[in-house]
Order: sequence, then structure tokens, then C-alpha cells
Amino acid sequence: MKLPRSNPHNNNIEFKAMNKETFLKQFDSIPAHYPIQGEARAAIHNGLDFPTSRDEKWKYTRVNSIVESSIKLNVSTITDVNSFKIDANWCYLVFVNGAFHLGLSDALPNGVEMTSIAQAEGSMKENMLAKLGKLFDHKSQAFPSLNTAYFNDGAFLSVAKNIKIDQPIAILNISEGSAQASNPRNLIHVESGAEVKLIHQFEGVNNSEAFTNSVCEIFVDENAQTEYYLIENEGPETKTISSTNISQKRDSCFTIVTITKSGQLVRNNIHMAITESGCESNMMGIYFTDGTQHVDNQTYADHQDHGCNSNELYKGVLADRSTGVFNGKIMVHQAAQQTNAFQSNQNILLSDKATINTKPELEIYADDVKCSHGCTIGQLDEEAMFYLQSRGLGKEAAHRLLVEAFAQDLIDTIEIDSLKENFSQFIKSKFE
Amino acid sequence: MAYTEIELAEELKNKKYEFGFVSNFESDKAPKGLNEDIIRLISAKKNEPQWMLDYRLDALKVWLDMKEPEWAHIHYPKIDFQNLHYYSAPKTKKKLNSLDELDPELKSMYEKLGISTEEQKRLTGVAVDVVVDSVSVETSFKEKLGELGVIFCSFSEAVQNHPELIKKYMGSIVPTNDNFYAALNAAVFTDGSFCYIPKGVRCPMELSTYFRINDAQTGQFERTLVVADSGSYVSYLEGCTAPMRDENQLHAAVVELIAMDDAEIKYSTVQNWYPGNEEGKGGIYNFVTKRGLCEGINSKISWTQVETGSAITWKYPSCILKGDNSIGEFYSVAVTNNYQQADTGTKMLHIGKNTKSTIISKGISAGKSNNSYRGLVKILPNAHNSRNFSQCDSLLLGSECGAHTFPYIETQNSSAKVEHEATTSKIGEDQIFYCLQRGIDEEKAVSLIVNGYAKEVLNKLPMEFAIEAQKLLSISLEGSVG
Repeated sequence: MKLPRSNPHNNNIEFKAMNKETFLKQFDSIPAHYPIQGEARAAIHNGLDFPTSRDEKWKYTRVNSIVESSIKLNVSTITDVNSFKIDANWCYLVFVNGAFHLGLSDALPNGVEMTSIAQAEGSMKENMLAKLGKLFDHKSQAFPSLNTAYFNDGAFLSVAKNIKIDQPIAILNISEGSAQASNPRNLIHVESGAEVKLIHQFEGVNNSEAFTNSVCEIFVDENAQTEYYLIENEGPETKTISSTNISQKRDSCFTIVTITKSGQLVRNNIHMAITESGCESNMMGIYFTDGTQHVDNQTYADHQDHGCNSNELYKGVLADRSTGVFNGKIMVHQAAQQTNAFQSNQNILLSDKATINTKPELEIYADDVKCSHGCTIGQLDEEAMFYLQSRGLGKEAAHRLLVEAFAQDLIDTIEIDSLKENFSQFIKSKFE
Repeated sequence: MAYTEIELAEELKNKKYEFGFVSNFESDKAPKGLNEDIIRLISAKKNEPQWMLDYRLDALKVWLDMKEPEWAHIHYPKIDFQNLHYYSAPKTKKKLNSLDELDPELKSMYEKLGISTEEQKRLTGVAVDVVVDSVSVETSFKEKLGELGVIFCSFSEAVQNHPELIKKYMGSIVPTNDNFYAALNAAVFTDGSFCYIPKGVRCPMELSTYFRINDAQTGQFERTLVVADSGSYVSYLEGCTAPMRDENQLHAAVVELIAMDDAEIKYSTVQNWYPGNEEGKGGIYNFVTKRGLCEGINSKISWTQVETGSAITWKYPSCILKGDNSIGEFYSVAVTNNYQQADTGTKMLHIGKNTKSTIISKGISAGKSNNSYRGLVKILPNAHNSRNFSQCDSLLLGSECGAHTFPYIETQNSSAKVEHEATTSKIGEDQIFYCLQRGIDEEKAVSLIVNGYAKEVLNKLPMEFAIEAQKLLSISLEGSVG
């Protein structure tokens, strides 16, 4: 049942949106901090439309339920975020309904600087503005433009040169209150030679019908190493669109792992611009869907220079009437000789009502490359099930074991033990 | 004077399309443009019954409302559809009983192509239905096939003699409103082939049609319909060469195949139309709609294609696997050189239970060409235990060409197994080195390696086609290395 839960602290901005203008109007009370926001507002009000199924990239995902919804901008009441913490030892930066919450956030380790985008000052502000919006064209893509136009806050995180940070840093975005609409905006700059592990975690409280439209820009400088974990757990009745664009410089290494735990409609766009030679890029993702969930992963590995490696592995288990979409693209430009790019998407369908649409694409303009992609769709191996059952495991247990085994190679790519454990628990919980 | 390497390179660069020549026989041509009057003219020229004319006129209406598709990974100047001749036929229209009665000019044209019909008749037992421009001028082995009840004739004849079959099946697989080019074809198609294999008959010979585009600025619009009734088998060959012309020529064919219970259709194509010169000037635009329906249980349709020609290829031979246990296959080699562009692949629609499909696609790009595989595998909710295996490999020769893969996989059944894999690579330097070391020059080495790479598909071709296809691969890639 989709009953909006009442929240006495609602800011009472509620509309029944029927078209784009009505939908956009709901964001009007958000102030524009920077000129780029004004440009994006102009673009989205004039001509830039929300995608329909006629747009090739949105062929399988309808956004009507978002654009025709009424949204609210709630005031946060949250006082404790410990229950959301996967590991209390991580450094948490807490954002509630898009706004930075200093009181709930931890102190940053040495070498890492952070400022709220809305309140940036001095040299941090200059650095931030030099990078803000550089990885997105806020005039041609509807959802990133919507974010640019109406973000009210976010983190600008900068990791200093040659510093190795052991403590994982987590940006925790909480969406609170029914029909809450947030446009979290984050900007991350990992300077040359630095090493950092980042977690970007989305959670929700009483937030049925919420809509989160996140944009994250990540700059990885020469020789830097970054691991980035995107954890989506906003609740079963929420809609999330997350767009992450990364720009990698020479000899850097970047890994992104997307873990979709819940959400009615989840759409992840990842664009990895590999601009200089010697880079390594990894994109991993896992989705376990049930009910009528719809999870759509779009990835783009853009090889612009020679001698880079990219690796991609997405795995999905789809149950009930859920739908999964995977569209991965490897683009190898003519200058990107000696590229090795691999992509794989594997899916298990547990129900005849579940659907998977997958489209692993290659577009290659250089000859000295090794590129491959593969995708499989199937079900749990009957023989393996029989083997386990003949050894006394119940059907459920055998099932769980096989699904865990299916996900294991992805779990193995997670380098933070507590996150690994958290994820194993999540898989187990799916069978309870 | 000694023959230098520079001279050799020059010669290869200027190597002319081997089959590029123009035969000068008079054509019977309709004025340029497309409107109702032209349709009526075509229909009247062909003595068609009213229902056929109505079908064409309906198609024209549908076509006028449609837009040219732009989703394919191909770029070309807009075609002015009103600046084309939609009908041209060789003047000789008299029925021929033997090859001796054939226009000597036509005959020498076939000989240049190396497809002497006589020889083929005698040596391979292939019945050849030759289509020059748009009218079938010669049909062989008709009597022999007639004994078995096999109907193999030109489409126009079928309209006259077997209207009930044409009415029943034409447009049932590729409806008029299917796409822009299918609608265009339905309106203006001038001829083609019709083939009906009765129940339980195994067609004793391979049926073959050679297409030839001859007149400059005539779009050629072929229509092929193959119906295999329960328990029958037929292998159909389609091969094409076209003379050299600077003006781009348009070709928009429609091929429909229907296989009933336990029937099997094997459809093989070698396409070697003029690909344009090394600057990308000229060449054929090839927009083809090919689709097969596995209507009955245990039916099978197999497409094999070797695509070396055409400036632009837009072609997706597809299978609708409706009958339970039906099988669809697609084997393709697509070669592009210079400025050629190919966007080709297949669609496999699994509707029935236990349906199986196999897709093997080998793309080879050289020069400044672009070669794309685009395919759809769709498993519908009732297609229990269906199975698909797809493999799409691309080979790049040279650093200025592109190879792309756009596979769509949509699965709605949990008992289905679908696998897709694709690789892109170039010819290994060690492979070339190995050949050079053994005295095989680079050009030959490349041809050898490419042939090996494509072997999996070439093996699926009937014997005589396989040999021709191997030659074609080598010719198409000449001058692309070094």
C-alpha cells in the first residue's frame, strides 16, 4: 500500500504535477547559489524535455511516475544517524534532504578537506567553482540539469596530494519525509598520488514516494587511486536517479561499485572519461530486485587515450515481477590504441514475470585493442540445486547458497571488510 | 623494367571493381518520381490484377506518412526519392525456353560474372532464375521442379498464376507498414522470386537467383517469398553483383520466408554490389528487410550471408520462432573497406516453447569503413526453455576504421538461457610474421587469416557459394594492408 505517511514537520509545499512546468514549479522555492544554476534553470524550462521511451537511452525506463508526481521539500527532524552506519569507524558526512548536517558529521582525517557547496568560501569556493558542472552538460541531459538547477547543497571533498587515507569516508544522504525530493550534488577531487576509499550511501526515513536525483562529479588526478562505493537503500517506494561522471588522468586507478539494495525505480548513469594514458578503471554493480522494482544501470567507458584498461562486471538476480536493465557501452576513440576493455553482465531470473533487458555495446575506432563483452541470462543450475538438496540442504538453503556463490566474485571486489560483511548480510536477508 | 613495390601498391589502390561494366541493352524505363500514376504504370506494365494494384496503392499511402529511419550507425546524404526511376525492364520480354534465345549481350554479361547459367545447370544442378534489373527473363529447371509440385517462378508470374498463394502469404511476415523501406518496396516492387515447396517434398536442387542492377539511377525493388509447407526442405541461394556507377543506387528488397511444421528453409546470400571507389564515391545503398517465420512446430530457418559490397548496408535478416521447438540461425560475414558502412545483424523473437537460436556474426573492417552489428534477442514470457547463443566478433584492419556492436537482449522467461559474447581485435603481428617467414606475402597472409576467421560462417554456405565467397573476401580486402 502506498499511503503517504504523515509528517507534522512538512514544509507544506505540495502540488499535483501534471506536466513539466508544474513539476518544475515545485522546486521554485530553492535559491540559486551560483550562475550555473540559473543557466540550467533556463535550459530546463526552455526546450529541454524529460526523456521518453523514444530516447534510445531511456528505452526501457519510464520517468512519468517522477515527472507527474507531487513532491515536497521537507524540513529535517533527524537527530541520530547511528542506525544507518555500516561501520562506526568510518568518517561520516551527513546530508539530510540535501542539506549538510554539521552536528551529525564526523571530523575528517588529515589531508581531506570538505566544504558544503552552498556555504563554500575563500579558496575552497574558487577551487569548487572551477570544477562544478565541468563533467556534465547541464544543457542537454534532463536529470543532471534538474539537479544543477535546483541542488541546495552537497559536499565538495578534496583529498590532498600524495596522501593515503586509510579511514573510509562516507557521504550519507538521508531523505526524510514522504514525497521528499532531493537533488544532492557532490564534487570530489582526488589530487595526484592520493589514495582514498569513499562510500556514497543513500538512506531514507519515512520517505515513501520520495524522489532523489543525485549528481556526483569525480576528478581523479595523476597516479591517484580511488575506490567509490555507491549504496542505494532509500526504501521500497522511492525513486532514485543517480548520475556519476568521472574524469581520470594519467596512470590513475578508479573503481566504482554500485550496490542497489532498494528502491521502486532506480536509474544509475555512470560515465567514465579516461582522458589520459595508463589508467585503470573498474565498474562493478549488483542488483537484487523483487516485487515490481525497476533497476536500470547505464555505463559508459570512454577511452580517449592509449594504453588504458577498463573492466566491467554487473550482476543481477531478478525475482517476482521486477525488471532489470543494463546498458553498457565501451567507446574506444581512434587515439586510444592498446586499450583493453572488458565488460560482462550476468543475470539470473527467478520468476517468469521478471524481465531483463540488456544491451552491452562496443563502439571502436582503434585497431590495436582488445575489447570484449559478454552477457548471460539464465537460472540457477538445476544440477547444482539437486546436488545440494541430495546432501540434505533444504530448497531455500540451496537456493541461497547458489545465489551467494553467484554474487561472490562481486563481493570479492569490495575491499572494505565491514562493507563486505554488510553486503553478505543483505543477500541473506533477501531469503528471510 | 622491373615491377616495383610502388607500382604494385598503385595498382592495388586503383584496382577496379572486377564486375564493374555496363551492358548496353535498351531499357524500358518509367519516368522519374514516385506517385500514384507511377504505381498504376508499373502495375499496368505487369498486367496485374486489381487486388495487386490496390495493395500497392495502400502501401504508397502508408509510405508517404513514414519517415526514413535514422537510428542506424550510418551516414549518407538524404536520398531524393522523387529523383529515381522506379521501373526499368530489359526490352526482350519474350519467353525463352533455352539459353540460346537469350540476348547475346545479356549472355556475355553473365559470362563476365562467371555465372554461366549453362555451366551451372549442367555441373551443379542449380536452377537459376536470373533477374536482370527488374524483370525475370529466364527461369530454368521449371519442368523438373514442376514434377515435384515445387513452384519456383518470378513474382509477377506467381501473381498471375498463383494469386491465392500470393494473397495469402505476401505481407504476412513483413507487413506494408513494417518500416519505411518495406513500405516503399510494397508500393513499387517490380519483380522477384516466388517459391513454394509442397508438403513433404525435399527440394532436390538448390534454388538460386542472381540479381543484377544494371541501369543507372534505377532503384531495384525485389520481393522474394518462400513458403515451405509441412515437412519440406529447401535451400535458396541469392547472389548479387552490380556494375560500376558513380551515382548512388538504391536497393530496397523484401524477403519473406515461411516454414510450416517440420519444414526447413536455408537461405544463403552473397552480396557483392558496387561498394563505391576508394574515396567513398558511388556505390549501392542497400536497405533490405528480410524476415522468416517459423510458423510450425519443429520448423527451422537458417540465414547465411556474406556481405562484401554496397556503400551502405542496412539489413537485419530475422526469425520469428513461433512454433514450439523451432530453430532460427544467423551466420554472417560482413566486410567493409574504404568508406563502406554496414549496419547489419539479426532479430530472434522467441515465442514458442523450446525454441533455439544461434547467431554467429563476423565483422571485418578496413580502410575508413564502419561496420556495426545490431541485433535483438527477445524471449517472450511463454518461450519456456528457449535458448540463444550469440557471438559477434569484429576484426579491425587499419587504424582508421570502426567496429561496433549493439546487441539488445530482452528476456521475460526464467527458464530461458541467453548468452552473448563479442570480441574486437586485430590480426596478430605474430600471425603475420609466421606467414611472412614461410614466404607468404602480407596481402596473402591477411587474406588467409581473414578466411580462417570467417570459416565458421563460410562453412555454412553451399559449396559453390563458399568458393565464391572466399574469393570475394580476398578481393574486398585488397590494398587494405601495408
